[in-house]
Amino acid sequence: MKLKTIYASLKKDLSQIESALDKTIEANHPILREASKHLLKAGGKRIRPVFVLLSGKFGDYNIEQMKKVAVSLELIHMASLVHDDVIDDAEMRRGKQTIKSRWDNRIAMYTGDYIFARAIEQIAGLNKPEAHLILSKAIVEMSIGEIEQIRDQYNWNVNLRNYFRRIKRKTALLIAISCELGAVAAGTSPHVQKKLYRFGYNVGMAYQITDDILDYVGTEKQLGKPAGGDLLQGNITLPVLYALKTKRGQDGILPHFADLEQLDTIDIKNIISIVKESGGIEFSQQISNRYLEKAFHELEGLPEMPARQSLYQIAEYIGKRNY
Amino acid sequence: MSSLQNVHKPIFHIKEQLQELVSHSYLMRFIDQPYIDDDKLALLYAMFSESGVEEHKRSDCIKAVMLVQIALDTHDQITSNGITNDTERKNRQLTVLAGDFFSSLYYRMLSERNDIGLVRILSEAIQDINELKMCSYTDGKQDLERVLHLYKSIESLVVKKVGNYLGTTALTTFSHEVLWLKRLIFEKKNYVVEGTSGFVERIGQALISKTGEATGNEKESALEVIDACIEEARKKTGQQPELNRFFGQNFPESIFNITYSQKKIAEEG
Repeated sequence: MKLKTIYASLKKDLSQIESALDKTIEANHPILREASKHLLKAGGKRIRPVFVLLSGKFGDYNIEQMKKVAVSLELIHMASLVHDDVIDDAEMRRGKQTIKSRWDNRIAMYTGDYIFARAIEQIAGLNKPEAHLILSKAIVEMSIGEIEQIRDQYNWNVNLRNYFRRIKRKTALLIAISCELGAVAAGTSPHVQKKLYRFGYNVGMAYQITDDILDYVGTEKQLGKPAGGDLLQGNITLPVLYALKTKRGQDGILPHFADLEQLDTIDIKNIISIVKESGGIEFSQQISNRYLEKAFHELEGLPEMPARQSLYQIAEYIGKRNY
Repeated sequence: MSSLQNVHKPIFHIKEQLQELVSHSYLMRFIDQPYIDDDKLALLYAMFSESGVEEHKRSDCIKAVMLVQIALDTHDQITSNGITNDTERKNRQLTVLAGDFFSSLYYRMLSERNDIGLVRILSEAIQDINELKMCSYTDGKQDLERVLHLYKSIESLVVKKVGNYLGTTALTTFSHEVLWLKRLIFEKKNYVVEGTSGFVERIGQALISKTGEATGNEKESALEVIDACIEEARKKTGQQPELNRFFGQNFPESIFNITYSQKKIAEEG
């Protein structure tokens, strides 16, 4: 099943959110406006708004309230991508030039800060003190996570616990609070909010592990960037962490790690082959599936309604996606 | 200003807390300790005190505003210069992340106080300042008035926006001028000591576009423009003698003393 099909029931509301996103970043300065809309036009799955909307269906669903949360979370995600491209010195994103590449680093910084400020302004329109506490704490944690990711770059000694904490902060947290804040904005019970948070967290973990798998098995065309990009940037992810536990992995990969910063594309191709041979992909898939199972389990405790079915389908899609 | 007795201790305490907040151990290995502008801190303290914000809330509000300023200043250090080694790469990466981190702290601090009004004001200030920075950075040849307007506005926008929100009109106008004066003096000093200043060059370019041709004396002319601006800003701050006296007497090491002493000398003949 395609995401489009799952999204069908939300078509009208998603289109409102798309318009609101566009309107929200309507800057006065022409370059700031163009740069802000650059990433928006490149598209994206809008996973976070979808989770907000579906979670809101468990309570008193009001599109105006949902919009504030959904737009804010998507903009926070976008702002972080704009700054990430400066951090990674990335040329391409979603098949388009990055802002830092199309213009320059300075413009990317101004644009990211501008989008982030717009995001906070949006959520400030929501009269729910607990929503601000949830979001602000998550943003601080996400920032710390990014700093620690840089700290752990090229460190193949990182352990699994460290990896899971990193992907929680990098991806799962924002998805988890998308679900939670959707529920908070709709005034659901704390029990439902908690369950939706845990659902989002588990889906987010599965989503990032799948992303990390795709970095080893995807083609450049599917990924929009060369395979093995994570390792080239010094990010040690689950497939390679598993491979390093095997003899084949230790013999074949460890010598490359003596000077990780000098890895070239031939080294990367070798490492990708060894990771595949060692079973790193299958292991990562199993872990991803385990998170998905936990996500499904959380859904079982929620009232039966079409939104619950849609959440189930999205989680399933995430587990099976191949790009 | 009579309500502002013994201001040093609380301001020092706020500065200490701010330093602790922005001193992330790993960040500090690669980037410089963020600069905390004592003058902005003092002005904000005066604003929040005058507007009657309770003491227990005041400190967090001031820290939040300062965090926004520090975050913006941190991101201003990012350039597009080529990276030649790993230390430079790490420095750039962590400078981006440090700014994001400081920015996240302001939102958390105000959310914990449920001060969403100030969150809204600060997010507006960040938007406006980035609009202005974009004008300053990308808008090619600009006339002198525009260059000076952009620099002056960027310098005090966050403090000014907060002052307007709090309704401290006299202090807000005073802050706008005094922070501009500080910037002018800094740029002039920098040019004299280092022999270079982006600001002086921008004024020089504006002067060329005004006359249509380069004379070779643009830098000297730019310094004359700066001197004239310094004089004007001093006059404007002098129009508020009570504020001038208060800050001059209480912060003898700061920019306020420059404005205050000038006034004093003039008065004493």
